Amino acid sequence: MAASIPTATRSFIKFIGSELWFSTGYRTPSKCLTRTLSTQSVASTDSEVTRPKRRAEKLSAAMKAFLKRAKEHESKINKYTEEYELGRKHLANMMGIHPDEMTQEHINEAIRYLLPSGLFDKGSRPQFKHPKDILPLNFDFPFDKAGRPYHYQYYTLLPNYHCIMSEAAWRMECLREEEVRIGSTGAPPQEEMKHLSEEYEWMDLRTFLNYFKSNHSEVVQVNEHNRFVILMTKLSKMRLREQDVAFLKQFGSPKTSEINVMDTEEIKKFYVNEQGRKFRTKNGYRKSAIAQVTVYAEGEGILEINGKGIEYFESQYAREQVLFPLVLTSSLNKVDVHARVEGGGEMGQSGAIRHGLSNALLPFVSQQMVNKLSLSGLLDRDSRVKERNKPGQKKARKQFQWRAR
Amino acid sequence: GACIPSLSQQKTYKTDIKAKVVNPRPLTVTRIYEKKVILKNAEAAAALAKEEELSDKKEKINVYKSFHRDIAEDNALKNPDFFKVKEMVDLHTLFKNRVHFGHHHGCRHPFVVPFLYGVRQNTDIFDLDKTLPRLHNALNFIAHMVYRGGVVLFVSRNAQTMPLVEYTAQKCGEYSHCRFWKGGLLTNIDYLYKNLTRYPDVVVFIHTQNNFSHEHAAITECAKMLIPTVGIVDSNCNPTLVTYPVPGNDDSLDAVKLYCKLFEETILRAKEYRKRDIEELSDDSDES
Repeated sequence: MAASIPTATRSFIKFIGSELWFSTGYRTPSKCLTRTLSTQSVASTDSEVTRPKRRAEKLSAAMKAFLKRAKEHESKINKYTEEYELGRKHLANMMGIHPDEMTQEHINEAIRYLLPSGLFDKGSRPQFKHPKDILPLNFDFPFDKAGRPYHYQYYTLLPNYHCIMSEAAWRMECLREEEVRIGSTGAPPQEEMKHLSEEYEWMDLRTFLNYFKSNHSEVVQVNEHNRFVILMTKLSKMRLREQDVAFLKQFGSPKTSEINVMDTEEIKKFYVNEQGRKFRTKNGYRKSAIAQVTVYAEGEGILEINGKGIEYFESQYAREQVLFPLVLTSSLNKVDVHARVEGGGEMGQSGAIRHGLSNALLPFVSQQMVNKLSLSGLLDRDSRVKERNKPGQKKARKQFQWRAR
Repeated sequence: GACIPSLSQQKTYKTDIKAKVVNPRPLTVTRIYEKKVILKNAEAAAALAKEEELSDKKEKINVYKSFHRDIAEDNALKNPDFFKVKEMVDLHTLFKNRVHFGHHHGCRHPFVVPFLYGVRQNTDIFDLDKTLPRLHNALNFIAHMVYRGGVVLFVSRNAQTMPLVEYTAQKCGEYSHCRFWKGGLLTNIDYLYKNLTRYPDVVVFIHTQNNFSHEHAAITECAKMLIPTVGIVDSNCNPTLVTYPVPGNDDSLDAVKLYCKLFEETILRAKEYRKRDIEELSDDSDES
């Protein structure tokens, strides 16, 4: 057997072991219970055991080690604060300011002047701050006197991250059970349950990493962030109670703010007719076709191309190209279009009209639609042109017949 | 009716025959005393004595050195069922919660064979007459450890039951680790944790296997660090390194709910008793 085992556990083993000794057909190797790292001499253990009364409370070794480290940390901080305050007074004297009126901005400016550095990394440039801002302050003692940790997931190395994830998973389980109960019995729900009206946006990678580093001093990886986003989106798509919505709002917010791709004043420019009608003309280009398109707002749906209607184009594809921007913005019968086209062929002319039309529609359409149009690519000039012929080849890509010799 | 095992199965099955103890010896624990080396040379002996004196004075970082007993354990050990564990579980409740179902007989682990009653429709069936006393022993052991202020760690790597297990651990005031087990968590503890941490005193496995149906890495680590383990062993699991194996089903939700409920009950009961007994002692004994 291993090292010395106190008598209380010895009697415990005897009691338990006797039951198991004869009941099992085989024996497992790890029947030795409890473990002691100590190599205490015999005399000390005997003296402990003979006294059944309670001894004075002793601190655990973990607590002792922490107190030692905390004292060292404190002494360090005290030393650095003394140096800092001395230096601060000298700096104030040099600058000609009273030390009480000196702020951190003054100090930063002074340091940049006195100790200029060309280093790119701002963290490695010389700083002059209070040691509390520089040295790590999170010196929490995560367990009590007996050595028992406070957090129930301390033994996973990222307790707070896993606590959040397990809480979300537990909420999902509860909600699923509720749904099953409601569906099977037809009873009303115990609390009000609603779907979320808006789609939620979750924490950025950077904010996520900073959240755990600054609050709990835990180093989290990108994988953890991905899993977090997946779990939260799953939870947000269920029918939620009020407490679940409050839980989710800690980590995300509804997607209200849109990225405005084009927000310049030029887009919103339009002119006014003699008759008081708003209009805008824009040129459209495709291959060698040039089109001038004017769009009149508050119209009936008139479409004119070189004096003719949509019948100017014979093929269905060309007609669709012209009508597509109007269909997207749902302004078929709200807008009048007059277009003049020259050059190119059928397809080129239709593409040019499309280009001009979508650029001319912008002031008469919402910002959301402007973003959509720009992202779809309708506002870009299609730069594809016929590829030139190359010498030694028949056409742009076609080559002469291969000969063996 | 139960299906009759075939001839091949008859050979492999071993019934629970009581072993004939030829030379009965009581279960004693031997202590390893420090060897006293008798040296002829007096100088060498004096040098050794000096070293021993110095080594006693040096502070050895030892988590259990100052382990103080705040409860008189003799009272708890007199009664075989001090925590009334046998009232918690019945054979009928085990059957009702489908604890007797194992896996397909092709998945059977050879060391689980003694715990099996038979096979029915290609599924192994556990012998509940063997699981029940083992379950009682396991619960009793956990209760005793918690009574003395021990740290219990719940381990499981099943995604379906993970929230349940973590919730029970939180409720009891104990600890859980149902995530990816980083190698060396217990064997290389000083490297992974910033602070000097306390080892768990009991590790309870609700699923002894991990995601890839291999043995969980924590079982070998606990065996190496001599941490006693309680584990629910299914018919495809290896029970050898678990100190208190409880053969039973770990796949059905009902069974896992039952286990969680039982562990929670025992732990809370043991903590109640601890609170009560500490208070009683503090009134009686003189503070030394």
